Amino acid sequence: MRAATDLAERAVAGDRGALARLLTLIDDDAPGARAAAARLGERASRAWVVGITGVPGGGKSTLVDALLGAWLAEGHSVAVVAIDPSSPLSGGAVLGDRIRMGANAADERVFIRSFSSRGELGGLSRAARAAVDCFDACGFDRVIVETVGTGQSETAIVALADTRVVVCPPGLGDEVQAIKAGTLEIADVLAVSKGDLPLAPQTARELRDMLLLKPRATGEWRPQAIVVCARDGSGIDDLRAAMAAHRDAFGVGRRRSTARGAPMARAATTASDDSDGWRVRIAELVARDALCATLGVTARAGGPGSAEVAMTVDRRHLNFNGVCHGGAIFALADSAFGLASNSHGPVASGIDAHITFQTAVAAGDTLVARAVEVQRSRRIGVYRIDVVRDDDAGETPVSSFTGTVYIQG
Amino acid sequence: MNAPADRRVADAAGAHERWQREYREGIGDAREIANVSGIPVAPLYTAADRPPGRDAALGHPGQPDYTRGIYATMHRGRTWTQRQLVGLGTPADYNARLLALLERGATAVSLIPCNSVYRGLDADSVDGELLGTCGTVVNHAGHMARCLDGVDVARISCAMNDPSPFTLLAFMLVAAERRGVDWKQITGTSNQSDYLSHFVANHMFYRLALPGARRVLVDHIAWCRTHVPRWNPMSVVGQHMQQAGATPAEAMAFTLATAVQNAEDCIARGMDPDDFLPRFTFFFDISMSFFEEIAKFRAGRRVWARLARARLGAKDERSWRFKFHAQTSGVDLTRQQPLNNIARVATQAMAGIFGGLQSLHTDAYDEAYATPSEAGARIAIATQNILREEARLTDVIDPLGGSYYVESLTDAMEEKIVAIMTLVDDAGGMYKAVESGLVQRMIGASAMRFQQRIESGEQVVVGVNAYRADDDSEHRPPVERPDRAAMQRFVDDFVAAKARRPAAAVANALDGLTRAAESDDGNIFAAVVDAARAGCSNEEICTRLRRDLGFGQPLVIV
Repeated sequence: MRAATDLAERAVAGDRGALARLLTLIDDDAPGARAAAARLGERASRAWVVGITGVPGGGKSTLVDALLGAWLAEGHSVAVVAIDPSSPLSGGAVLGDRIRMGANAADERVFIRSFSSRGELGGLSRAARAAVDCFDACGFDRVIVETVGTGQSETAIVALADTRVVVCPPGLGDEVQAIKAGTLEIADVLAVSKGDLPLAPQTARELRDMLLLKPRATGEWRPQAIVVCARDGSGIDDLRAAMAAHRDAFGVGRRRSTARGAPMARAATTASDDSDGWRVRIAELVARDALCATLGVTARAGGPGSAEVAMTVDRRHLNFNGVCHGGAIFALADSAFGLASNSHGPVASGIDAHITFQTAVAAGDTLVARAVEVQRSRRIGVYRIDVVRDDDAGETPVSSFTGTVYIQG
Repeated sequence: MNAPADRRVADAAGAHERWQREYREGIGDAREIANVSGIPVAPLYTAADRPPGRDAALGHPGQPDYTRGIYATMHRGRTWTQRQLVGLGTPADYNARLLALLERGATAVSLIPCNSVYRGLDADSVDGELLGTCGTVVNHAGHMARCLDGVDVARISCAMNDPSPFTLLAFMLVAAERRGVDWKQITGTSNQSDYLSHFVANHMFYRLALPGARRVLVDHIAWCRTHVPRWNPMSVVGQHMQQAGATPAEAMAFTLATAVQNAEDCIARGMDPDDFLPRFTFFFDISMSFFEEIAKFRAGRRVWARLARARLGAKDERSWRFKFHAQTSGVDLTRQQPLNNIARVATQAMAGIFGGLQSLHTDAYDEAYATPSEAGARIAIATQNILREEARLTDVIDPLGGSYYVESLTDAMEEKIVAIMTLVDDAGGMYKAVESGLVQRMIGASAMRFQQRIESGEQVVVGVNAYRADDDSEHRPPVERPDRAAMQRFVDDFVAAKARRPAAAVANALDGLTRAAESDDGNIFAAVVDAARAGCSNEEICTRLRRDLGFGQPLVIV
């Protein structure tokens, strides 16, 4: 506890080693580390936090490198929080290239740190937020958060950013239109990467069409799709201008304002307002669900965008190893997902879901799945479902499930 | 009064301009040259390239910051240890080869076990055809005793190529104990104790998951300090990473960062840095980039002295000394025109000697084909003897010290090494940087770039992309294979010996591993030694620890 506070003080005073060690404590979730970071975060909120999101290999790190170069040339200090499980710390490797190719000294004004998921619920987004707070307080006036933008707690990380850039490599094809639609929801600026590839102009056109079709209120921010090419640097200035326009319109420090009003928190509060009514409503839905009946899934609570269901594991749920079958846990989580996403009325169909398994579950254990709404627009909703084992000792995380729905009607 | 001196300076300036002019006229627009680490290399270095006062600060050998060597006497006092890696066939085969090498002047012993041993498998779990082809099959203490028959382990330094959980050292200690040798006399090195480098670049060594490997290493260092105090439990390895493609500067930086990580882990366990740092050794690759390698070692010595003192808080000068073993580079050897490898090895060995090494392994020219033949190993040792006793490279300490080029390059390498270490520190230190894949990515990018240089012809490899011969098949060395029938008899004996062991003692010793792994303060390596004494095999020990500590999975980087 004391150690983290000391490190925080020294980091703010300019001790780079202390900052690195504090970030390690944050990553390991050592006692007091995230609290120390939060206290740091209260001191300053002047950094512009930019989210760079996109599929692995899609050109995020070359874009990060281009932004780094441009900002350093203007005299800014830039920190990068890299969260991409498949290409960790790509930005760091970019710096490694620079050192190999000529730059002899590490630039004091750059700090790159990657965070890896270790399966704990929401751990990654809390670590990322704490890291952003630290960098902000230590005088970095530009913070880049680089993520894939899908999967467990990534959507929450995206919400940290003041300005969110979605990187789209050219020629994704029709089959991923739904993904594009999902990422469009979070984009403040779209960057079509690898602008020297022949399909880049076409991809930009498709994205602009989709942006035009999306109804927006008067005065609402309209994202632009900009073709960039890291090889010759074309489009980077346009992209930066669009990013700056967004920042000028909305300011910085968004992660503070969303801290309280996050959809998760909102869903939880609403559920308690009229909990009985909602419980009856979802109990009816569960009663009509044949698979829930087969597996013994029961309704516990609900609300607009949220649901809680439970299941006691018995012999029918076990696999050949004698522990609860992963499919049974998925079914439980999926039930909560379906209930939460359909709670608003219009029919919502699942189009994508991911699950991680963290703990083996034995016969006799009671599992609880809680669904919360991370983001919902007219067409797309993103839900997170945490499955926990509930016993006398309290709750133990079992699974994390993330799902996306397409909303009909 | 000052006029003559001023005129000399003016003349020198005029001379330099004249040289520049003549050089330009002679060579036209010369292309830029950079070394593998990315440092630009100028056609000429002069006093003007040296910052004022820098050379006076170079100091003397044996004194901090040790740029010119870690001992006052350096190679005049004690030349390097000639440490040839040997490993082939059965323990009996190994023993015969070893005794022959010792007779020919080798002054230390090393043991390369069979690949199956690295993978934690015993001889009876592996296809017989694979056994003993690139190392000796050593599966329990009895095998080790046979390997070291007739070798005075109390007097000859032994290096064990022995990754976590250090079963080979345990077998050796048990063999020594049975001969009545006091462990306190035993010297040598756990050559492959650096689990981080294995995770990055030596994929056959994945045995325990990263957190488990981290704990076993600290246990091993703590235990050896008390029980085998002259043993070097920690060899920090840059060789794998450079062989995998890291530039010389990256290899040095990652290795120093690993040493810092391991030292900080030991300090966190409550150990005093001066209790263990004097027993830290380093192990490097020597590539073909001659001057870059010399500068790498000189710079590394300097950086380590500073880190050990300022960052790790060591007060004993022995902790500041950067003791290293170096091996000529296997990946630089070519299958084409294999005798050319003799020239490569000699060049690399020279770079290592000028770099101030403490121990040297010269590769045999036929290593591009197989484990060295006896003839190949003989030439490798002869190369060292020729460099030392015919060419007399050891007459003068740090003979390249003061060279404008070598000193400038040493400074530039130091700057580059520190820059790369800053990246690793930012990433949270070497453990985190490896866990997250930063190091692997940087090495991958460097390997790609080096290969591109070869493919474009920018980097010449004689016999491969230049000066090719139509047919060099007649020069191909013969490949030696172990005797299959003898290997089968060996495996049969091993199976029979395992069956004769008291089952309860074996089971109890393996449970001892579990108890140590599950307790917070048990020493896992102490339990490994107990298990070796009870007759447990390498596979039994590795399998149990993998179960208790997790199995190391390669990190896949897309």
